[in-house]
Amino acid sequence: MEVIKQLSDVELIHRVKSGIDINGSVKFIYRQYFENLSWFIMNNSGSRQDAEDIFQETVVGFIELVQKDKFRGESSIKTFLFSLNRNIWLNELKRRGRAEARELKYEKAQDKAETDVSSAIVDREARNQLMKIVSGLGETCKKILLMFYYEDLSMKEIVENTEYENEQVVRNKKYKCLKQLGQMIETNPALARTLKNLLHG
Amino acid sequence: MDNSTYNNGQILKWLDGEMTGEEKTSFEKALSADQQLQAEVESLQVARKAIRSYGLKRQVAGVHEEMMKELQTPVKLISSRRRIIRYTISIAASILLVFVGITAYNFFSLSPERLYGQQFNSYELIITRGEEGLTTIEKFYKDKNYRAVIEATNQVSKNSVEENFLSGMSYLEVGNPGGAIAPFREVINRDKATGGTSYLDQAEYDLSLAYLKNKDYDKAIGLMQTIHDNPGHSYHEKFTKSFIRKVKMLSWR
Repeated sequence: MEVIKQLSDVELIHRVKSGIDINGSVKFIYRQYFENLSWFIMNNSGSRQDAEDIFQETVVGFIELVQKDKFRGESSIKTFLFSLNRNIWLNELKRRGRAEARELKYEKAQDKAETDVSSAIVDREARNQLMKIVSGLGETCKKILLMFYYEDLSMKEIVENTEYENEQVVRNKKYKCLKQLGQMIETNPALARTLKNLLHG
Repeated sequence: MDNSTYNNGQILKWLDGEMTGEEKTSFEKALSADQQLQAEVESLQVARKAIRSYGLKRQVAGVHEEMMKELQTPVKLISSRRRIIRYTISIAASILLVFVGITAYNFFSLSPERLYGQQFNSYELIITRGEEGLTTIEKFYKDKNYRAVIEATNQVSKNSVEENFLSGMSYLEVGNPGGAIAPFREVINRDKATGGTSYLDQAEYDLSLAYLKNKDYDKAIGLMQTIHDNPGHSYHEKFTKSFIRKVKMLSWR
């Protein structure tokens, strides 16, 4: 049976920043905030599916910002998430050319808190393009790059999890894959610009 | 410095933070001066950023699926129409609650004594032949000396139908329903055996009440149902379906 632990803002930030049990932290965020944030989207021209998608983007953005030390606890996580959720939904409405973007209903002052989102992708379209491009990479390349750059596995562990003979072969393959992915991103100048901005954000 | 000085392995080593000391200083000096090297490094950094974002998004998406199953309750839109529906449901729920409350009160406040009290009526002795013509037992009963009636009828081995009936009624009057059962049954058996009807209906009615007060619900319900089902019975209308249902409710407790 899964133990559902109540986390304070400080504990949650510590867990997200240090990468301890990301799944558990994400579940906690869903249980705590999904209903409220979804309610907001659905009362501002969004569908249930929009609410789910935007919340997912919000959680990803939140983790990216926390891991880049862009959340310093000046507001509560709740306020921060509301603000991020609002930004992502606003961008989405603009993209759809909807007049509602100018009329978002914010009844609580806390929802108006400004959030520095320059270190996260708050544009769903950009995120979707990124996902599409990375998905277009070969399975082996994706696997090696994810193991090294996302799961933080050592070269030795990667050799054990692939069919390659030794670390040097994997190292060479990793370089080729990363270079290939870089070139694929360059074919989408707007996305490349967004990602470069994030690097320096 | 031309980036050809640095091979792929060295660029990756710097990117992955594995370069140290003099080697690192030298690489970074070259990087600051070489735009081509800068472009290549930046492209790799962008790719690394992309793969990390992809990994995170994929991980969150996995949890998302799981959480959507857990948080199945749909998020409610509060429109005025829904608000009206909500209020209507609230009112209906309140009415239902009141109804359930009343039903529960009725159920738990039901008692054999209460139902018995709703039905029982004292029997008035009808005198047709003058005071002087009354038997001792009849006199006792007329004077409401019910214990004397019981005592007198118990001293005689075989009482008349009327005396048995008065004995049964006296037991009920003194609050001893168990004692009333035998004399009432005697009345019924003898009336049925002889075809007499003078006390039959009255005895059946009061016997069922004796069973009720004595908490012998199955026998009470059976007899009450028989009386209810017989339109010719003098007490046919006394035992309504509602009343019999209440006695049944008592039997469930």
